Amino acid sequence: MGFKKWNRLLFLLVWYISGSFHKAAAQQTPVAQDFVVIGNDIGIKSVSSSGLTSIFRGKYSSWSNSQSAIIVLPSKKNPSAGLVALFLYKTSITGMQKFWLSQVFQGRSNAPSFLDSDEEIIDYVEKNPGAIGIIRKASVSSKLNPNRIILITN
Amino acid sequence: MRFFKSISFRIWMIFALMVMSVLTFFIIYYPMKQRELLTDYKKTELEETAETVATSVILALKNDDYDGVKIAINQASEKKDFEFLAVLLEEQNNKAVLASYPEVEEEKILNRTNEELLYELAPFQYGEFKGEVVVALSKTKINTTISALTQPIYITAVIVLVVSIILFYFIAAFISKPIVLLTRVTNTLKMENFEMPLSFVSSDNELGELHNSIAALQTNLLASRKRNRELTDNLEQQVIARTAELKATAEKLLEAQETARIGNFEYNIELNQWNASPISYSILQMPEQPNYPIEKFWELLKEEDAVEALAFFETFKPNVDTLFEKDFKIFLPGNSTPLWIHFTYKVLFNEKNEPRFIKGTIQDITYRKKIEEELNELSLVAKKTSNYVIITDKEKRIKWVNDSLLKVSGYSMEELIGQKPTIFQFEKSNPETLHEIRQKLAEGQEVKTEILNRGKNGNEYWLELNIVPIKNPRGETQGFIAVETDITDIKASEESIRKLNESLEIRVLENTRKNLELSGKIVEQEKLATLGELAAGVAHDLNTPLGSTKVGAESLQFTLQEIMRILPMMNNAEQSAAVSIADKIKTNLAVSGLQKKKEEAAMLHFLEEALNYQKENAALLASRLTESRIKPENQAEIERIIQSRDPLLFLDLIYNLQLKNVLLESILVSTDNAAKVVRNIRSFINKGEETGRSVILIEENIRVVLNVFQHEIKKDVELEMNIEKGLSVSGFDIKLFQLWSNLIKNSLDAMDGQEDKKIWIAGTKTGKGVLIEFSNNGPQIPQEYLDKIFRKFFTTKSNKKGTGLGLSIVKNVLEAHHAKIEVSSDASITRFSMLFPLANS
Repeated sequence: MGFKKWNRLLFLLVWYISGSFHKAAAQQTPVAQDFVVIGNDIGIKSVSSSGLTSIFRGKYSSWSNSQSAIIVLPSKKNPSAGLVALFLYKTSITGMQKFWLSQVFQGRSNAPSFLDSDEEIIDYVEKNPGAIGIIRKASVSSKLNPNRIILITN
Repeated sequence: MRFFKSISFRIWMIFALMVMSVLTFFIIYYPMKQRELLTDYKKTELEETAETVATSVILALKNDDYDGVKIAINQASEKKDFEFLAVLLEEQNNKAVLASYPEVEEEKILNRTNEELLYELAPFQYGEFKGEVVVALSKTKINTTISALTQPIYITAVIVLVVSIILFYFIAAFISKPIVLLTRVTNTLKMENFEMPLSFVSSDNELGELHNSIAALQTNLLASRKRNRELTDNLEQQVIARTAELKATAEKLLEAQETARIGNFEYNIELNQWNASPISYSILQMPEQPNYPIEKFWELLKEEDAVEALAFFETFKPNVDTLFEKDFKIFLPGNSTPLWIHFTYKVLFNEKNEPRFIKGTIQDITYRKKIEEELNELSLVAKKTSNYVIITDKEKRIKWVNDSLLKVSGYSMEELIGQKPTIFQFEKSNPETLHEIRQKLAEGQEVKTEILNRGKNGNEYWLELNIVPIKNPRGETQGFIAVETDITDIKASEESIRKLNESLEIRVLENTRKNLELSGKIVEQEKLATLGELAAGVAHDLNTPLGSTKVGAESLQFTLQEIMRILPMMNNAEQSAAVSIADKIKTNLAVSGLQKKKEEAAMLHFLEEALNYQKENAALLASRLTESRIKPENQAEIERIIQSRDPLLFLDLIYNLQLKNVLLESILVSTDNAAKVVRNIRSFINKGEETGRSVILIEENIRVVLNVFQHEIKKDVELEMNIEKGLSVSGFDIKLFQLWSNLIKNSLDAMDGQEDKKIWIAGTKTGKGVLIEFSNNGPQIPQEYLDKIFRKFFTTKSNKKGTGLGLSIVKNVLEAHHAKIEVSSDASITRFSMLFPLANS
């Protein structure tokens, strides 16, 4: 093993540590204000944080207006995925996948729609009545129909 | 139990075992194979499910698309035998259950120790996800599935088994049916029930041929049994007949033994057993018991006799026919009269030449001995008597002569033995006597005669000979005994007497002549006596014509009165004509009723048709004309009668004139007959001869008599006479008058007082002679009188009418004519049938 090799290993170690710091800085506990919940014809205009968690944990299969509930979440390719997982499931993306694998496997819930970007989420919700999605506030754009926004109350 | 041994069961059992084996194998093998296959299948299916689920998990984790997992689980859960699905994740080398469907305890998933479950694992790895999918299936459910699959198989197998067993039972019964039938047939035949109907069947296989063979055998058996039965019956009958014959023979043997007083005995030396016939015990007066030791007989013998008889035993040798035979005189206990027995015995040897049996006979010969003694005594008498005795065989050859004959004849016994007694006869011996002797002896008769014989030395001697044939019980002559008495001296005395008689003979002849003269007178006297006896008959003979004459005269008187009554009513011409006609038609007025009726009918026809006489009295006139015997050929006379003033009165005159002529003629004949009788008597008295025999016409002879009795007959008797024309016999007319007169008078007397009186007289010529029958319908002559009525003085009439001589005279007359008479009488008719020899014989 030569010097170059040791240098390469050292570089990787430094990169890993720096990355970890970066992640630690980015993974600060997200709050409701970081996210915008959108829904299409789901019978409600606002939802509490706990309610929101229950909804996104697949507790309801249909809305009060008898519309089937469709949960729309960011896929692991979506940059929002880690935050959403942390916010809603208090876990990582992998944890969220396990959660939903377990839910679907046991037949407790219908499988959510995982989309690769918030725009796709906005677009999906807009097109599918009963769908409820969560995006980062930073992803809000003009494409978002304001009527789709569900207020998160405390 | 019989069923399980039957052929049907055996065939069926083989089939049943085969089917059961196949089905059992199938029932065992098929589910096992099914289970194996199904398990493999389920494992494969389980493996695929696990892998599918694992793949779906990988895809879900990779694409964040969990619908595939849901679909895979839904598909897996659709399997009914699915127990659970689980996803295990490996974290820090530990496996933990992420999720299971349906939810089960984690422990069950991780340990997987349940034997009832079948597990399958499918590992997967995606990124940091590493784990495995576990699928579990319930073996019970697999078994249930297998059971569900095999249950129809079992049911089908059971059904097939039952159906096969039943089907094979019938197949076995069908296959074994001919054998069962044959068995039944043979068993029936074995029981000798051969009459069982057994039809022939097709013989296209072995059983058919066997059946037909048995049927043929049955036919043969029936025939054989019939033959056997017939043979048995025949044998039985033969046995019965033979037994009966044997029994009869045994009885006859016993009877013969009883008669001959002979019994037999048998001694079995080896067994010391005695057996004797009943007569043996009877002769020896011993108790008749089985195995009674008849040897006690020895005790009855004198000692020397017993010793002799027993000593003889040693002389018997095998294969040499020896017999001990001797007469013994014994005295039975308590009996002083000796008993003679003829004792025989012989010894029979066995094949080892050892004495085996003693067989013998005991015969009571006391009577024979007595006879022999008597014969000896008689023989001595015969030998020593002064009479000569000769005994010959049946060929008359001399067997023995006594001393007296040897002495008188001069021959020795040796010279005479074998000779015939004709040796004693010579030329002076009477040939007729010799012939008589030969003839009587040939007929087996006893001979008693006298004969002159001559001795060897020429000495002649007269013998009174008595030869008696000796006959056996069957009557066959076995020889002759001649006992001869010498009567030479008697014969000499007879000769001297004969010569003395010759001198007396002349005187005897003279006396005889005188006696003959005296005898002639006696004959005359006897003749007169006979005449006296015949006087009554002669009186009757005379009485008949005299009676006829009297009757004729009385009738004539009556007739003349009638003529005198009618004459004044007639004019001269009629009187002359009546006389003329009466004189012209002279014939017997007697006519039979039947003939009269025929003639009346012919006359009436003649009157009405030929003469056109249609008056009312035509029938009466025809009757009266017939009575007067005027026939249609007398047409001139009939016309004269019709033309008279009163034809009936005129005819009455003619009839009375005719009757007058007939009566006068009858009186003349009767008086002539009386004269003939007188002449006959005179002739008999004077010459003892009859008047001459001549050919007599029967009808004419009888009509003369009928005329005499015509008045009585016409009064109330219907007479029918039917005699062949010209019928005649050779005889004496006077006697025949007597014959007819007595028969007619007898008939009239018999029918006296009877309303309906009929007399039939018939005469015809037959091959045997001239048959004349006098019949009347008078009362029946009692049977016991029929053989007495021809006796003299026998009569059933009152004393006034009958003398009892009438039929006696009839018999005498018939005897004079060599004729025979038979009388038959019953309630309706009495008939006298007389058969005269033909006139030319």
